[in-house]
Amino acid sequence: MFIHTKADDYDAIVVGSGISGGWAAKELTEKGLRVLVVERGRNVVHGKDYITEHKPNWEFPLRDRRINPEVQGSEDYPVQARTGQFRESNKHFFMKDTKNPYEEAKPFTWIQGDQVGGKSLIWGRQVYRWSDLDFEANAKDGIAVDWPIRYADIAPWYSYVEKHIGVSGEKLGLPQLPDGEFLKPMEMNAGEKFVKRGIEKNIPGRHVTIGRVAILTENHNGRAACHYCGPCERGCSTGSYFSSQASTLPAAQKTGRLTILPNAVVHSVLYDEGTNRVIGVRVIDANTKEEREYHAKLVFVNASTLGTTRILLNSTSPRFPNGLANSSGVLGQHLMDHHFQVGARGDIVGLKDHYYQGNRPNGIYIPRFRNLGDDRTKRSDYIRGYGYQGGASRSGWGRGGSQPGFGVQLKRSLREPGDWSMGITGFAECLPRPDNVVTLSDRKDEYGIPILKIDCSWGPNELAMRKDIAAAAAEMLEAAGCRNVSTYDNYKGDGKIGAEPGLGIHEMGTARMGRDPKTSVLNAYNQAHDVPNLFVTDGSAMTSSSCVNPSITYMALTARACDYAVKEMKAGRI
Amino acid sequence: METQQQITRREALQRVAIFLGGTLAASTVAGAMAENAFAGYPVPGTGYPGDAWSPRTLTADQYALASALVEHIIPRTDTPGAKDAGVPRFLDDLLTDHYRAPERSRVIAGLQGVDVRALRKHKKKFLATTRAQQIALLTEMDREAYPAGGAIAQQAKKQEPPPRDPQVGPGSGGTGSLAQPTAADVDGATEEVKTEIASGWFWRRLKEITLVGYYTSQPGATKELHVNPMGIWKGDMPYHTGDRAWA
Repeated sequence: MFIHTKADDYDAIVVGSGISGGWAAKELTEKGLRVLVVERGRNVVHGKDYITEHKPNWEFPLRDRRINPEVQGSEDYPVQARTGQFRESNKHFFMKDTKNPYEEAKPFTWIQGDQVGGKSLIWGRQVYRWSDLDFEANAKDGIAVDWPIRYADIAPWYSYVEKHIGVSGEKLGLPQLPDGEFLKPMEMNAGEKFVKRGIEKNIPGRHVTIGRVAILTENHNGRAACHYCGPCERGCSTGSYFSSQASTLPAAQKTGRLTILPNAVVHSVLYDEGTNRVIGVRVIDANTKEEREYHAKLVFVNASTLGTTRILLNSTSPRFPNGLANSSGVLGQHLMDHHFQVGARGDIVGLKDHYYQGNRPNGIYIPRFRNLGDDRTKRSDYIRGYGYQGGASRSGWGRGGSQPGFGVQLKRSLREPGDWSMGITGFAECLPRPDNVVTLSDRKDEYGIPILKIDCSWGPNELAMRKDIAAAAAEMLEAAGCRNVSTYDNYKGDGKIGAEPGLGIHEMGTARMGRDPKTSVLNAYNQAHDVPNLFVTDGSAMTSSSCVNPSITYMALTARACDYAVKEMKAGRI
Repeated sequence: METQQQITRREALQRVAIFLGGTLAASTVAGAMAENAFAGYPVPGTGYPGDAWSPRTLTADQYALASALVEHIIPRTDTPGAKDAGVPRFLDDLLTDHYRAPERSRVIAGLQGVDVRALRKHKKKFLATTRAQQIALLTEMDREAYPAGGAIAQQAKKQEPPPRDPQVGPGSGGTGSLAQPTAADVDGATEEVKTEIASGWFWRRLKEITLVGYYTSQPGATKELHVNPMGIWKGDMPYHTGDRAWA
């Protein structure tokens, strides 16, 4: 049944309400458009629906236990439970895998949050600007296609976004990690300061800085500074970290031009061949399964990298038999994710008269130092690079499980904090490859939408880089004076799940931007080469992956694309 | 010795508001106090002394044995012990609601192994032996479970539970015949129990469960240690020997 009334018409439809969809909603409504945000998940009301916020551990029957695929409670979440983020306290912010099954040709973990706010409620909040080292990489290496933009194109939009969301961090003046509009940085603890001093003194050119995070260290734009309760991923009533609920959706709502439609699964984007324009979306009610159409002059697809790609692949017409705006044929190809879970840890001797107070939801960051474009940093075994995230702490009561003893003596010893240790894990760039690809399966989900088949693996460049990530991590910790340094690498290969793609939850690249319509889906403004009123500004637009966390780049690209789209509309070209 | 009172949601939030030094908006408290989706969970705080509750997986005898063992690991001193903190119930909750059958079975086999050891040594079950005998036996188990030379990490890795059957869901597990060892087993030592006695896995796992159950409980987190207060991040502050760690 198709229900369509004139009242359903909007100036723009945004598919998805997560990090990039929320930004599209804010920008388009603030520029005067009446916007419908279509969200496949349930509504999550800021504050009220953060049902586990500030709950002490003892109020959880299993004490906020990690729910992994091998234990009870993971039955509906066999994939989501693979990430360490999935716990007793926040499982309600992850999508049930039964609602969106997919096929894995090789292990690929697709983490999803189907609710208003999407994964912005549970994201890692680390935000780093990309640099020209990233935007020029493909062209210089002769890999994939060139980005159609450079740092200068996006820099003002980074500033625009940072000023709105609030980012705390330290300026370093490094070309490979441009500084932003920072609120005051969070303080390092004594162990981290010790490691920072040692690394920076003994290895010239290395930097250890506090993580740059979308968490407020000062009151900002009507949102309260962080109160350091710790587990951001349960939701934050004071709006102290960036989420759609805390930041973009309220701004959009303030205009009076925003409508949010939850529980609405987008089946496809509707295309009119006569005008070569998209005219809206076909939606399936998640509860009643009823079909509806919503129409608009402009469509932004922000359903997350793989969600967006799936919708476009499923939006077929005589003009686009292989998926909407896919005349190039690259839609679904070049899937990327950051590879990580490789690094080192070491003990710090001493500092026993130092401790800390509060729960800082942030760690340290070591910016990229390999392949920076000069001979000194050039590697012969791989291209691109990586950074590290990590932190130091004093061991807690958990140490008692791995040491002998019990009784009064054990209890007394665990009353005091234990020794310091430091750990760092690499976050590394992944190359775009045509054979890392998603396609539509013959199988359909409960809404009648073909499910995705994901075929993705790390290549030789990633695997070579991992060896160096572990070695360089150990070298730095040893240079800093750490003892008992050991390395680790969770990658397993052979079809097993260790550090396989997807777990970085930075999937990117399946509807890439580029200069040539023959080899890319989107142009320099995230506008489909083939269809002028169709925009895609989530991770699928990325032409390469950099090694830094990508979300703020999605935000900046979205704001930039909205600015362009509205100008084009006003000029009558859309 | 005090009996732990059940903390209410309201009390917890009031404490939160105190931590926040009043920066928490009234609406936030109201929001956080709204009815939530956890209605299906057991009421938190039950399982402390005096509560009407009985174990769902462990038999009464196993529960009594487990209670004694966890209290040996974290005894009551001038602060609450493992039993005061509801650790025996936490163990039964884990076995019932979290573990799948193979792991559950290993823990129960391990419990039985403790009695087997006591029978071999003293011709009595563990709980019938003297306190000194109990401590001596657990000291022996502890020594076996933590061989000298820091080999524990490797040892523990080798002795991870066998691969779990992913098809085993809630309700399909159970403790099987192991829950009630028959007299025919001479001293109750089935092959699985013998394996557990030799492995040291059970004792390390029980210690781990006890520590988690104790230090994440309200008594453990607030009476023995203290809860890291919200409101401020101090990256580097002085520590004096004897100061309690954050929970």
